[in-house]
Amino acid sequence: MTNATKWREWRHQLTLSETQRFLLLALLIGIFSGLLVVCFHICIDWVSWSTLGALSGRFRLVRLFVPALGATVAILLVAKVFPRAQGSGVNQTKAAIYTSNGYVPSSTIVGKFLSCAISIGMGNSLGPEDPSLQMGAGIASRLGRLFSLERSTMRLIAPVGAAAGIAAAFNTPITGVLFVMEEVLADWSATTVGSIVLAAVSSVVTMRTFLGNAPLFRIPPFQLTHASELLIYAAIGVVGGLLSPLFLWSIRETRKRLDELPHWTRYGLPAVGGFLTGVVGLWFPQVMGAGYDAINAALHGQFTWQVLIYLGLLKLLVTLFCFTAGTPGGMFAPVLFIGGMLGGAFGGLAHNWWPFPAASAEAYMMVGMGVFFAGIFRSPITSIFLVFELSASYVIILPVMIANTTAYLLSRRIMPTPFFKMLAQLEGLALPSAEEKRNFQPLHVEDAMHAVSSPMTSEPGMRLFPDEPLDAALRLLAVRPRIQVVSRIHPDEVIGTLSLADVHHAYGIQDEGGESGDKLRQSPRSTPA
Amino acid sequence: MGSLSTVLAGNNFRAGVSVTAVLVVAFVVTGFLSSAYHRAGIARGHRHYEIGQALQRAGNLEGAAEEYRKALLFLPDEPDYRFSLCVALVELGKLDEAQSHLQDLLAVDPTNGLFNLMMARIDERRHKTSQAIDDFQRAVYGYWPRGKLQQRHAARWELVSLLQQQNRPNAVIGELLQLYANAPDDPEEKSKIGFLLLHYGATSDALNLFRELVRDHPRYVEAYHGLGQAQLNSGDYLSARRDFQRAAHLDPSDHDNLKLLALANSVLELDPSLPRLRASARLRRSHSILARVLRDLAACNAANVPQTASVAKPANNAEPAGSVAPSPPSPLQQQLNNAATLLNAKPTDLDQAALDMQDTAGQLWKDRSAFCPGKTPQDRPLELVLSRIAQ
Repeated sequence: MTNATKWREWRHQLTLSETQRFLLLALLIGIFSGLLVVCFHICIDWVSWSTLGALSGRFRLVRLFVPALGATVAILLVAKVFPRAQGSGVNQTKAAIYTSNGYVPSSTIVGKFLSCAISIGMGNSLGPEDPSLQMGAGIASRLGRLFSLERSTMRLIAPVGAAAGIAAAFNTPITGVLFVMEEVLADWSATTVGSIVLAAVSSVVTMRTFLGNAPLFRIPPFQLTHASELLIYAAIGVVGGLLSPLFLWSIRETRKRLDELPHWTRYGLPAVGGFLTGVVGLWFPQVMGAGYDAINAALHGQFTWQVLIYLGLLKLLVTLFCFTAGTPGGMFAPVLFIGGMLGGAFGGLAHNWWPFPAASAEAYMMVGMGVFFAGIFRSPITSIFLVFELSASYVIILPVMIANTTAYLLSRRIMPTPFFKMLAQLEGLALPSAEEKRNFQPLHVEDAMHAVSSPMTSEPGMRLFPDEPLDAALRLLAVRPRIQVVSRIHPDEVIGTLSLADVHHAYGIQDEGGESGDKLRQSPRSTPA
Repeated sequence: MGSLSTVLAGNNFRAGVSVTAVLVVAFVVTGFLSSAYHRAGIARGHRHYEIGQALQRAGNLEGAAEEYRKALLFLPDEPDYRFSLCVALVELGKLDEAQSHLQDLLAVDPTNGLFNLMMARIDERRHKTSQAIDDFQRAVYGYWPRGKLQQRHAARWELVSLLQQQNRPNAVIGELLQLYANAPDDPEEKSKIGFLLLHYGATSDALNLFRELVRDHPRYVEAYHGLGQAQLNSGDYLSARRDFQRAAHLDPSDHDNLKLLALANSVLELDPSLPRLRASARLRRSHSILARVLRDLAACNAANVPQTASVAKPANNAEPAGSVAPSPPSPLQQQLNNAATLLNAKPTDLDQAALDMQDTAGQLWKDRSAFCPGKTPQDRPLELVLSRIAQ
């Protein structure tokens, strides 16, 4: 056997299946995304140090114009050079999955990187996580194309990159995985989950290699001082559940009003948003940029509860300006900021006035972050794990679960449309909402079948079980007009029958005339005569 | 890496190679960027820290704290920056924030003496005394960075002060002994420890301490003064007088010492248990003690002890005719009667009489609280002699 033959055989043995290649590619995606997020982080900080940092002291007034300048440069970049880099990032990733077979243009990566580094670094009240998510998806798509993955695999590659991007941005691998599974992908398989996990972990490891292991926030030790505190946490959930739909409504209405303005104003609006941020930033510089430094300061008790209220409300206001004006940047960081500050303020009040022992205000900040996250993004599981991962405290789980679930349910009841779906509607995209997909209950055979009055013995041939999906029944009904439905426990016993008309009825399809039309007027569960 | 790219790419070998190359370049670029970023961060952090220190030295604590906060934005893991911020915040009275930063520091370095000391001071200012004591103890038993050991000593003194405020004498004595064991060769500090030991009743420890001090510093007045007091407390009045005399010799202007010397002399003049005393002298001293006890009792509460005068001379007090038969005397009354009898009697056995007088005086002194509730005795030599006799 020649060396060439040996080499060919060896290569042949090492050739991996599509699934194995996908998993290995996920690892690469994670590493690339981690590297990109590191560079993005460094770039934002450098822009910030060079502009806002250098202009402190006697140049304080210049702070008024820096965010406006940053927003103008960023919007011009997006509008003139990288038009595909527009939008929140999450919806664009979803669009890549649902409409373009996982295709995210490479220019999006560069566009997002530059425009968001400039706008966030120069003080606009937006965050780097959503752009990181989209950049991760962009990298994944680029690599998928490079390795000529199959179309079905390509569709799954963008969420893998998205998970890697957001995990590295938050330095929280579990949250990255959960967010993508909860918000971006409604259905997943073992391979998808495996690759998402692999990508998230490798991106976080890469990120930590360069930026260190320090968590995003330095959280003081959390403890539940008294059982009655759970009531306070539930109250935070109620407040968050009322405030978050109000915030969503404000975004929607402001955006609608701004969209009615002439087209040329889109270049000026971000500057206006930036200027308003600068005005607020003159007195409260903490609201500028992503705001993580301010969150860390608040977590160390730097602010009184009154200041925390001001900061929370002002951040809400400036984020509304910046986001609705179309300035590039994400919403995760501002949402955490607002939730954290308002939660902390609530905690400060409780600490002073609650008749039972209560933890310090800082403990409530973490819960507040989770509450607002759950209320706005409607990702309850992600919100719980985000706080858990950020705080590294198991004790916090119980209050977070209570508060987040309360906020989630209340917010959903007041404003059923979740944030990303609302944005998609405003951007003219018809994307499925993961939350709605979760809520969709597929019909089963038992929902449509006619039950028999007395059990019959089944005939040989095709039959259905009552818990099988109705869609599966349709395949059989194409062959036979009526199928027997048998018990799972006693497969020889017929418990009902199913016809095409029954299926139509169950799906609410009106069939004028004919046999099925008559049957539609009967209850599908009534026994046939 | 080459084989990996082959595997990944399947038939697309060129794609694998290019991805590998891009990955290598990306690592190099990111490494270079992050290295420059860290260097810039360190420089900026250090600059803010130095400005903060300058402001702190100038007394601008608010400005210093702000600069330290900025320094921490660049280098959040730098304990010196965080600790300096804590110090400034404590001085500004921003205890919540300071405590939060200290918790961060202690989470990483829980046995650091400096951090625990700062936490103890915060707890003390918040009147969380038991927590403060725990933190002080963690501070003094923790490790201290090189060059900061002097502060550990100061921390122990702070702990002693807090324990004194909390009236925990045994704990104070324990810490004082530790202080002494680790004390520098400073006679002033050692004598301060010794006097505190005396104050809290650790006489034998104080005695050893002052003896050592006298041996090491024979010209140091306080050492003799302290040793004299320790001897006085332990009942060795002769040695006490000798040490007070030496102290007076070294510093004749020390009035406190002269007072104690006078006290020692008084005690020695009164003490019937001194060796080589004649029986008559011992009886005379015992008589004097008993008389002084009765005088003290009469002085402290004349209303309650009218009988002392009368029982002193029972023969002169004839009962009026027709009076009701007297009730049996109380044990206290009996003691007073007994004392009066002893004082007026002409003894044949001098030694026995002296012993009886001492016993009665001791018993009356013991029951003094019944006569003079809440009043401390004024006759210090008498008190010392009687406590010696009781021993």
